[in-house]
Amino acid sequence: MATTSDAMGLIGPVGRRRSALAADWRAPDGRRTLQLFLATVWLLDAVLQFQPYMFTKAFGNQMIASRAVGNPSGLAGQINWAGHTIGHHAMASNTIFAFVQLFIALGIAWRPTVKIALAGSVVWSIAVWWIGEGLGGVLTATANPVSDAPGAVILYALLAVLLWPTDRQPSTAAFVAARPLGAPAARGLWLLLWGSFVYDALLAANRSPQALHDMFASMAAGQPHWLASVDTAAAGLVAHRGLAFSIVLAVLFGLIALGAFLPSAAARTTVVMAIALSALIWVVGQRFGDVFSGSGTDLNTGPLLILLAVAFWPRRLTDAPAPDQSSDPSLSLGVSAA
Amino acid sequence: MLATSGYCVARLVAARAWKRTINRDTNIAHTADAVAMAGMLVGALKTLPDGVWEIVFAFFTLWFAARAARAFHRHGFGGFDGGHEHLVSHYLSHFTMAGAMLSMFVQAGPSTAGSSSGVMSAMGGGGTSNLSELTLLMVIILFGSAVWHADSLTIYTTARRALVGAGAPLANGWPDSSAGGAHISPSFDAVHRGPETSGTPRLAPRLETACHIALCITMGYMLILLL
Repeated sequence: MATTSDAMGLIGPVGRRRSALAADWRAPDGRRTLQLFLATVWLLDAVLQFQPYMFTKAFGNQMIASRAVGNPSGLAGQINWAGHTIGHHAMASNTIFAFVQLFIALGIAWRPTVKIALAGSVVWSIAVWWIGEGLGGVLTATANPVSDAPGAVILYALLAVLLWPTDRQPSTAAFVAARPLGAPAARGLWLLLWGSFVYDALLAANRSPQALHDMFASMAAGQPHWLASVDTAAAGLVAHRGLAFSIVLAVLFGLIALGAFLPSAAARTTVVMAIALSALIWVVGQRFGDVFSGSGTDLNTGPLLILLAVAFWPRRLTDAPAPDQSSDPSLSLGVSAA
Repeated sequence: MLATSGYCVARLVAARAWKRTINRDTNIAHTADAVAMAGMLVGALKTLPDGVWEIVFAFFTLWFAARAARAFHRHGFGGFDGGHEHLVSHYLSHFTMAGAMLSMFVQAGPSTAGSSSGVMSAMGGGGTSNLSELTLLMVIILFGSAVWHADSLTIYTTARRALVGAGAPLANGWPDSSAGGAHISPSFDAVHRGPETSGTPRLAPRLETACHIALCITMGYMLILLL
């Protein structure tokens, strides 16, 4: 007979409900660790969504609606409509947004629900990328990977796919991200992403002499003193040298894009380059996702690109991947006697 | 937070009454965290002056720093206690929690008991923190701890099933899956032992973990308001 003690999971006499260690629980492997980092970022997004600013009309009417600028008229109309609707029902809509992200984060973190949460995160990410980020500005002529292109939220969807808890090639996956789709597909996605950065870096609006300078100079306002100093120094460094720096960035992005196709040693070098460049962009170009402003909604693309790069770190083929932990039925149904 | 603090106090009482193992220092710290945060969120629930809380959390910060150092010295970075807990990360996460609470009180400025203003009014968002980067680091650590603890919830299963199958031997505190009992939980005699009392089962570890998760998330939110 169930009692309050039983319901609370408190320990009672022998034979009643208590907790014990599950014999088949395994410590997180590489993929599970990356899933947990992804869950941490989702959790941060969820809590940022609870900031007071997000419950005001300005979130919808200004922040979201501003994403319509530069987009084709059809998409711009949809974004404007969504922005004003959200602004009109700010309290209810933002509460929903925040809790959806919270459930995604905790769902990824709790093993029995990781697949549902990752699948939900893909759907949610695509919807937000479309309406909330205006497709990351990729249809505008000003998308810039240093600032936020292609939009952080689509990277969540990409990570969810590449960290999906299934194994196409259980014992021969060259890197973690190759486990669900296979190495060719994963490399193709990597090439598409970093190749788009090459394209964006060389857009006319981004390669002009003062483009980068103007971007960094405008970022200094409202930031902690040390961060403002970094942005000011960066602005000074790239002043009148926008074309040269854009070309350098394009070359780096291109090397990283091709790195996934290189032998292991060279691939590891390009992964390290990707991590370093992403970290630099996150600090200098993205101001840690603007979390210090009181209106930042996420950490921007920097941390996600770092996670992605780690997922492409070439493994030694003698390291067999751990069994899929999240789909282990014993985790949700309890263990059974052999 | 009030519910969390009440539950943590109940755990301290129940553990003594039922002779179950808990992390006493962790539970006391959780109680203090929850009571302090309740007072920060709702001024009417404020129990002690800010200065007293600063002393309390300064003590906890030093306490958990010392425990982490001792665990590292005795067991190394990868050491586990007699059950499952990774010692150094356990103490470091609570060191961060205590440090975060101390940081909140120090940065938010003075207020009096019973005042509805003060700490929460200082947390209006938009940068009251003079230690933004440290605050962001604490937020990331807290959320990482919450996520890792959520992952570890499935380390526990109900021991009713443990009584059905044969016991699996423990190796260094972990069930030995190579012994052929990979899908069979350990017997009651081999269940998780707490750090203080060998042989006594832990009290409601999943609820304890849930409390930790709730505290980390709430604390992280309050730190974000300070950014």
